[in-house]
Amino acid sequence: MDSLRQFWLRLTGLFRRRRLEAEMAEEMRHHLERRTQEKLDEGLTPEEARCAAQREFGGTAQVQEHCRDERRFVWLEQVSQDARHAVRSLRRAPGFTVVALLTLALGIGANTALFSTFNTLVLHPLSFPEPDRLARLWSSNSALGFNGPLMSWTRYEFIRDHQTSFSNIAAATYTGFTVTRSDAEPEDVNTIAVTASFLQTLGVVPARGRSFTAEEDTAGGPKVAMLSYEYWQRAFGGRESIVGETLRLNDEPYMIVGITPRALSNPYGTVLLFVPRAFEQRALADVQRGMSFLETTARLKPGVTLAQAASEITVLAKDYRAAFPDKSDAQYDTPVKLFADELVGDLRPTFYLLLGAVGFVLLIACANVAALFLGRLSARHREIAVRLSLGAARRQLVRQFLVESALFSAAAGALGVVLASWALAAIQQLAASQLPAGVTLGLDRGMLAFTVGVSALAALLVGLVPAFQASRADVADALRDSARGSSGSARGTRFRSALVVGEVMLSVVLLVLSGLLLTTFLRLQRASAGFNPRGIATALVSLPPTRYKTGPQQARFYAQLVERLEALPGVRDAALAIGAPLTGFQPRRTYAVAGRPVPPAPERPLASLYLVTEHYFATMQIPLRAGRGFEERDDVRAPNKCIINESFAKRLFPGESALGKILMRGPNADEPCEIIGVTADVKSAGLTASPPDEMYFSLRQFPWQLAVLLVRTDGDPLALQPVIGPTVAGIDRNQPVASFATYDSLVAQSLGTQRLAAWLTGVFAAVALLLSAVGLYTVLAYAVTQRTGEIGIRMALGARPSQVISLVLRSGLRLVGLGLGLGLAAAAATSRLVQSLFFSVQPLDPLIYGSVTVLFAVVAVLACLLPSLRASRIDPIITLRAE
Amino acid sequence: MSKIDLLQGTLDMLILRVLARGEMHGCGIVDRLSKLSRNTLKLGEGSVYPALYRMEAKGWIKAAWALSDNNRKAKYYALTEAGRRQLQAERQGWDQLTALIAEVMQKA
Repeated sequence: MDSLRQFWLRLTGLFRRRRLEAEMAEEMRHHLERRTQEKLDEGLTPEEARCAAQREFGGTAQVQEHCRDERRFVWLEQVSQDARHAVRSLRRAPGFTVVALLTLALGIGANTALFSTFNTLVLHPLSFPEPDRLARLWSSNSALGFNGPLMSWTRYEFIRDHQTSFSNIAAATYTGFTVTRSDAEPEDVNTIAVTASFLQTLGVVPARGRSFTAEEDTAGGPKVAMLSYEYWQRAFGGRESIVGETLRLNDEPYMIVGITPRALSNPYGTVLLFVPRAFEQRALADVQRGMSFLETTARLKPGVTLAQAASEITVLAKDYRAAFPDKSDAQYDTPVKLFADELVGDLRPTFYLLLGAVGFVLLIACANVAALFLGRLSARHREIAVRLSLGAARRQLVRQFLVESALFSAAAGALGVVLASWALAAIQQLAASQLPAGVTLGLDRGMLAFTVGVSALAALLVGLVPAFQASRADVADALRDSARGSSGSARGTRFRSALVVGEVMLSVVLLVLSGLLLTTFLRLQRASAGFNPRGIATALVSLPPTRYKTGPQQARFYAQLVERLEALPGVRDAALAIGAPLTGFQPRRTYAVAGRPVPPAPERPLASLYLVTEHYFATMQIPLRAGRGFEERDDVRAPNKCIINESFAKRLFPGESALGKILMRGPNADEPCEIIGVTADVKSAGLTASPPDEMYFSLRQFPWQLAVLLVRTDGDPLALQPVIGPTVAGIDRNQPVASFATYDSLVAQSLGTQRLAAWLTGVFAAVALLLSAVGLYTVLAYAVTQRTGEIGIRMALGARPSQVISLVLRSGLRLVGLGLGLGLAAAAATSRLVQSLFFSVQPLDPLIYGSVTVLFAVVAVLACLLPSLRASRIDPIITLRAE
Repeated sequence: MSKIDLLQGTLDMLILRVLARGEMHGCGIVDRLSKLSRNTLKLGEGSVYPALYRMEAKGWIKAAWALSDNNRKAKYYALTEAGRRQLQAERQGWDQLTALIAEVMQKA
């Protein structure tokens, strides 16, 4: 009770200070007046009376001070006084303050921005409730080299009916629907066909209306659909009456039963339309024989671990194999992964690398600022000594320096937050193609807390050493008139030199790493993928089955389109294809070789499937190694023909020509196809993997209702964007065209992570280099100032300016040399660790290490030159006289 | 216990005792103390105020402004319940201490 009352009085004391002061003064005055009156009554003169009373009372000011002490938060007032003092002293040295502030703010800002990005993209890629309980079921077959997030409908049903580890399981597959409206252009929209359990598994509820029912999700169910929230807002004005309305999708009436929630998480952010009966998205025969085309998501039951679920699923996979031995996916395993891991698993190494890099930058920044503070402190040696001799407690001084550095770091932190938000906006802009749709990078509470933490840590790092130094200041030493190379800072100089060596080391590591990443990116860009994407424009054409029911109808449309496009000026070749690299489809089919024993369906090898029109190879500039390409005569009535790539041919038919050999395709390996041509390999599985087995078939012979349009032009492919739509409309007014993109942009997007990593690391390395140069400069400049006297003497004794320059330069370059050596060794070790991120470049590439060394040496010399030049211009007379 | 602390502690007790008689302003307390101690207790007059402020913060005394006998505004201090209890406790403690010391001095 006591202490509470005390606390309260002290707190209120802070606010009512003026009144309390007046009261106290009044009380003292009353006392003095009484005494004076008494003295007067005793017979003293007014003057004497007053003096006597005062003398008896004691020092009024001191008494008042003691009274005040009883009432206030001494500590708080002292700190606020320190803070005001700190602000004043920082303002008195604007150059130092600005440089140090910017340096630390840069380090903090970069860290915050990157960590924020990391947090959004890698740590929390999913915004569903309890995302760490969401799992994905894959299919894998190591013998066939297949491992991906796809599953067959039969397997899905089997697992769904027998599993116990998941509270919910759902399957989905992407497709495209054409939306025709009376009040707008026909539009091809990104659609996903889902099971009724889809939204429930993800843990979300519709924003309007309802999800699909079990009846709607069975064969023969009604035509219903759901719109995405954003699509509803954009295309339908967000009108409430949309639920229950009918929309023409693929030329048939569908009733809208609901709207999905707003800002549906990645990876479904760009889906506009949801339909049921996912199993209808493939031909019945394909579905029944076990074609894998569905993505399966499941939510773990509370208390069930991923490992437990995975082992149950393994058992179920075995049961499935026993129950359905002749399905084509019978032999597959079903690995279970976390949904988040599937999305970002391969981003993690890159991000950890970047996190390390930006951590280095922060360390360098802190080291620089600590060195700056240390330097400033040494200049205040005398001030400290005087204050100590006047009775200031060491504790007071340490507290003052800590307050100073805390204030400084708070300011730097605030500035860092501003820089970070700019940086995030820039990253969002530059890496827009890399970011999953709908994701915004921004600072959140967690990030701000992180920034505060980092700033506080910086304050500690920056303030601790100078504070420590301050408390050890030898009073007598400093007070002595020893402007000539005060040895009291010898330890300071050593420490700062160590800091600089550390900075150089970290910068070198960053520079080497960024050089390696940049080379990786450039080599990837230039690596030949087997085709030439430059000059090709792509678009998606999806023919609704109501208007283009038969194969020949589809083939005719494609042929007409190609003909019209090739007639346009500037257009060289045009083609349509399914399976072209990076265009979004990667179908694979089993095959067998005629005349050789045919393995049962589950064991048959897979090859990448391409369906192409006649001018595909010309458009893509894929050279034909042997035989011929497809021609108009290879249509549905003619015998089946196919083309394979050369490494496939070499493997299947070593030592002989593949032409004329027969491949058996189809689910029962009973459709013979004659190999009529062999093409060069295409690296469709990525630039770093070896080219897969590729089978090309003619779209004319094996029609498909959607295909990617590829148009090669002499000029800029972007110019084709306004032209393709009208050309298609010229053939069929109601046929939309979707997803225009130049092939270059698709390639660039696929290299996006590498580009981002190279760019960011480059930026960090540049910043680190700059900061190290600044650090180097300040250390040397300070050393010169310290040794002014010594240099003056040397020059007076006959040293030439060039000798002085080389003296200073040498001391600086010694530090750089040490740091460089350590840095190169550290870089060699580090680059070995992250070798997996590099492509076509050795972790110890001598060219890169050599150029970094040269670059650093040049920068170092420049940084050291200025102080050395200043040293050479020291006038010995002036320095000696100043003693 | 250093000399200063001893003095401070006992000064508090003495002030509380004086105020037990009735409320008084700072000047009056000093007069009373010197009169009671036959002018031997002569600390600097101002030193009573820090003690008064401290005890007010601790809640042993409370202060109020009123007109003094010479018609000037003065701050009067009075004992609170807690102060009364504190006085009791300190008095007991002091008696015990003096008895103990006396015993040691006699018997040692």
